[in-house]
Order: sequence, then C-alpha cells, then structure tokens
Amino acid sequence: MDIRLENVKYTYSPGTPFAYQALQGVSLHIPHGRYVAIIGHTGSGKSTLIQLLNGLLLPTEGTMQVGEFTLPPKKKKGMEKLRQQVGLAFQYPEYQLFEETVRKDVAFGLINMGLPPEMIPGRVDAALRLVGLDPDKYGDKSPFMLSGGQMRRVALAGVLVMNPQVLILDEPTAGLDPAGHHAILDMIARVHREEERTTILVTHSMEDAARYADYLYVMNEGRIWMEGTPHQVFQDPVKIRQAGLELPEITRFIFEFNERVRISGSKIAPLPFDIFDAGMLTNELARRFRRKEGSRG
Amino acid sequence: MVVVSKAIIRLADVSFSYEGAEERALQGVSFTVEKGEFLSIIGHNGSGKSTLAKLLNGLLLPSEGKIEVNGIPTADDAHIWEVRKVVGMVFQNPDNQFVAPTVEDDIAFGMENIGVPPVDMEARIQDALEQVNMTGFRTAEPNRLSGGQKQRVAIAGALAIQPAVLVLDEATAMLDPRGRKEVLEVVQRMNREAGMTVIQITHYLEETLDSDRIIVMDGGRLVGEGTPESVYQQVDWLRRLGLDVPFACDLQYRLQQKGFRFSTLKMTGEGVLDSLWTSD
Repeated sequence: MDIRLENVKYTYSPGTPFAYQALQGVSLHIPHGRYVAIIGHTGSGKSTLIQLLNGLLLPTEGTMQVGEFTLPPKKKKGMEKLRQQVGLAFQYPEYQLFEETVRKDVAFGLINMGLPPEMIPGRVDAALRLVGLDPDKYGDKSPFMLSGGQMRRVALAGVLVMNPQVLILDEPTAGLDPAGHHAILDMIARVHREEERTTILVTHSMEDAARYADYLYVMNEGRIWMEGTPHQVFQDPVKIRQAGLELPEITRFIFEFNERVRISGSKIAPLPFDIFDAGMLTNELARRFRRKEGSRG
Repeated sequence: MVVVSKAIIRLADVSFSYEGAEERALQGVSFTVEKGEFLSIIGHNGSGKSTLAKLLNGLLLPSEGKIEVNGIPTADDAHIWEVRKVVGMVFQNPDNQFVAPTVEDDIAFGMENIGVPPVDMEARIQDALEQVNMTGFRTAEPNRLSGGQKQRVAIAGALAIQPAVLVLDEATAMLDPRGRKEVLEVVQRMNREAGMTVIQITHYLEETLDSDRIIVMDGGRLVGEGTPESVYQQVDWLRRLGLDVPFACDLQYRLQQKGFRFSTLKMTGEGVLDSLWTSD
C-alpha cells in the first residue's frame, strides 16, 4: 500500500502552555514494497511521524493517505483495521510481552481481532519461523526465560503475525549486542525480501540506514530535511551535520581518502561514495594500492 | 619496600547467582580498578556485565568472593553508604532514574540519601549541572527532557554525591548519536580534569577507543583484558564471543588478509589512511 503525506502537521497539547509542534509540514510518498529508513536526532519528529502512519496520532493539519485510508478519517470507525495493516514495533517491544508462553503472546493480536481459533496456531508458528525461532523448541516456553535477542524476536513475531502491509520498526536493535544487532537486521531484511511489504526502519545508526534501506528520510526540526538513496543523502556531509547527525564511518573514511588523493596529487583513483560495506571497501583499496606497488616493481 | 596501592576497587574471586537461577551470572571474577582509570567493560548480552556493575556499589552482593571499595567490603552493611558515596551509578534507561518533579529536586534527593548537609546542596547542584552543561534546566521537569539531557541530569545526580568512581551501565544505549557524544564527552572530561575513575559498560565499541583498559566478559567470566589496541587486534576471537571490532580495526584486519601490513593497530580511519600513505 502506498503512503502519501501532504503537508502534514502535528501539534502536541494544542491550545495549552505545553503546545509543541512536532511536525511542521511533512510531505512524502513511499511506494509499496520499499525499504525506507527514517533517521534524525531525538526530537526531530521521527516518532511522531511513525505514530501518524498507523493512526495512533491524527494530523493536526494536512492530509495523509495510507493505502485505502484517508487521515484524518471522517469517522473514527475502521482505525483498528489501519493498525492491523500498519504494524508498529515500538522500541524495546519485549517490554510488552506478558503471556505465559511464546505462542500465546504471539497469538494475542489475532485473538483480539477475532480470527477463528482454528486458524491461529498455524499463523503463530509461521510467524515464529519467520523471525528465526523454532516454534516446537520455543513455542511453549515462557517468553521471560529467553535471551534479550530472542524476546525481541518474539515481540516482532507478534507484529508480523498480523500480516501487516507496512512494517514499522522503531530502533529494533536498541540495547542488543553486536551479534544480536546484526542477526535482527539481517532477519528483517530477509522478511522484507520474502514478504511483499513496505518496511520502515527508524534508526540512529547511519551505518544500518545505509546498509539496509533503499531510501532514506532525514528528519530535522519536524521536517523532512533530506531524502534520497543512501548514496545521495550521504554525499552532503554539511547538511547531514546541520541535522545533528554524522556520516557513516565508512563514508567519512571515503571522504578523507579522496581528500588525501586530491591534496597529494596522487594518481590513485578516488573511491566511489556508494560503498557501504567494509568488504567492498577492502577490495577497492586493495585494487588501488596493489596497482601502485605493481607500477613500482 | 612499601608498595603504595592506587587501587580504588578490588574484586577477589567474585561469583554471583540470581535467586533460582541454575547458572551463575558471574564466575570467579578478579580485577582491580586503579584510581583515575578509564575502564570499559564489553561482552555480549547475558555475559554478566550489568550484574558486575550492580555489584560495584553494593546493589548486589557477591555470592562468593569479595569486593572492596576504598578498602571497605561492599558486603559490610554498616558501611554501605560509604561505598555508595564512592561509587556513583548511571543506568541505561533515562526514564527509570528520576524520582522528583524537577531536575534540582532530583539531584537533591540523592544527596539527602547520603546525608549531605542542606547548606552544601545548593553549591553542589549548581556545580554538578555545570559539569554536564545543564544549568539552564534546573527547574525543568525531567520527563520533558531529551534522552541525552536526561542522562546528563542522571550523571549530575551522581556527580553531586562527589563520587570517586562513576559507573555507567549502558548509559548511552537509548540515546541518539548526539546524545551519546554529549554523555561520553562529559565523562571523558570528568576523567581527564577531575581525575574521576570511570567504569563504563557499553555495546558501542567506538566509545571504548580512548579507554585505558578494556575488560572482556563472556559467560560470567573475565576472559580478556588489555589496552584497546591489544584487545581489538583479536578480531576472530571477539567475533566468536558475539562481539565486533571498531570500523578501523575491522578494515585493517581485512586489509591484512589481502597482504597489507600494519606495524601497529590504528584505532581510527585517519590512522589507517596514514598507514596506507606511508607504507610502501
């Protein structure tokens, strides 16, 4: 389902001394099936934006179209449908686990939406498999006996089981160690490839945004500050820094590398800016410096 | 010859089990922390890092072994507040650390706990907020601050106790890059200028690069320690432990496998560039 926002504004506590305009006119179009990342410092409007996308908040001004839903809606009815189609996994989603068993926890949303009971176990087990948990091994365990990374997978299964068309993940790897971090993001990338849906990743990590997403939105002061492919966005370090962000380390390295090439007047070819993988960077460097050695010998 | 010890914290063969748990969360951990040291502790989730942090100021007590802070055993009930005066803690979740309606009240609360005379509080609040660049927020409500601001207030609360040691238990995990930088800069300055001992537990390897020492935890045991240069040289070993290495170290490791040689491990991209440009 396509997502379109037209000049959407959002103000918290309007008409009170605490009124705060978190979104100052956001327009964007996310075509179905894209993997997008939203980046921006705390308070830039990211969380407000994703809560608007699944109808938890409604625009104060402007309109938005999320699939067949127009927001703000003419009547409140039907909003739970939107929330089924736009799955939102909050930060630290495992804090919301509460059932006695993993299967019961994942089934919770399905039971709530009134799915016939005989259809539930199959969907639950499929969702667990999708997030890389063997249902027979983990299904009847208490979610609280699992590791942090596994609990996070259970919580994500609870969102995926609803089969949302849009999956929004707010910092899905916060607090995980490096191995768990990569495992979760690789899993999300696989699910994105396997299932026909839009994935929206909210992240503080420029590295993850660059590596996993096709398209980036940089938020700053309640606005879309920049947008484009990672390659396009990270070519403008000045604008990135104005948004209170940094370039991915690998991009910073490429900038410094090219600067040295320029200053030294060396014949080494500058590095392209669309490298976001250390292995690729290594190959490019090896090629350049081997050539140099060869010319000497 | 008299050996003058600079150790401020000493762990001797410390083990810890949570109630009802089959496995020990910590197993025979021994090390000392020197006064003025900047120590980082890394390890995967469940490696025992956070348990270790809570043991350092007596929030948890060792099941076996002994921890001394300034020579006082943390298990000594009568002197636990002495221990907590020496070791300040800042935890991961900025939202779980506030008890009072305003920033200044919150900082005062911690001081009341250790019996700071009310006449001294004003100056200490002012001083602590200055250290973390938050003087403009004295009367603000903690829950209206950004994550980085909250954590800086939490640090100010710890600083007002005037601890000799500050323990940060993944204190930057929930912050954005800017918030992380703010917090790291504050503690690095406190370490450099005020000689405060800092023990930080973190998943962000970049935050460990300027440490005097890194301790690596796995399965509740201390499995390695050394300078950042020596620890991050062991790329395969760290990966087997579910850890990673900083970008510059990863890049050098990969280049080494392609036949590049580096005389020393560089911790920054600039360092790698220097090596590339100066080597043959």
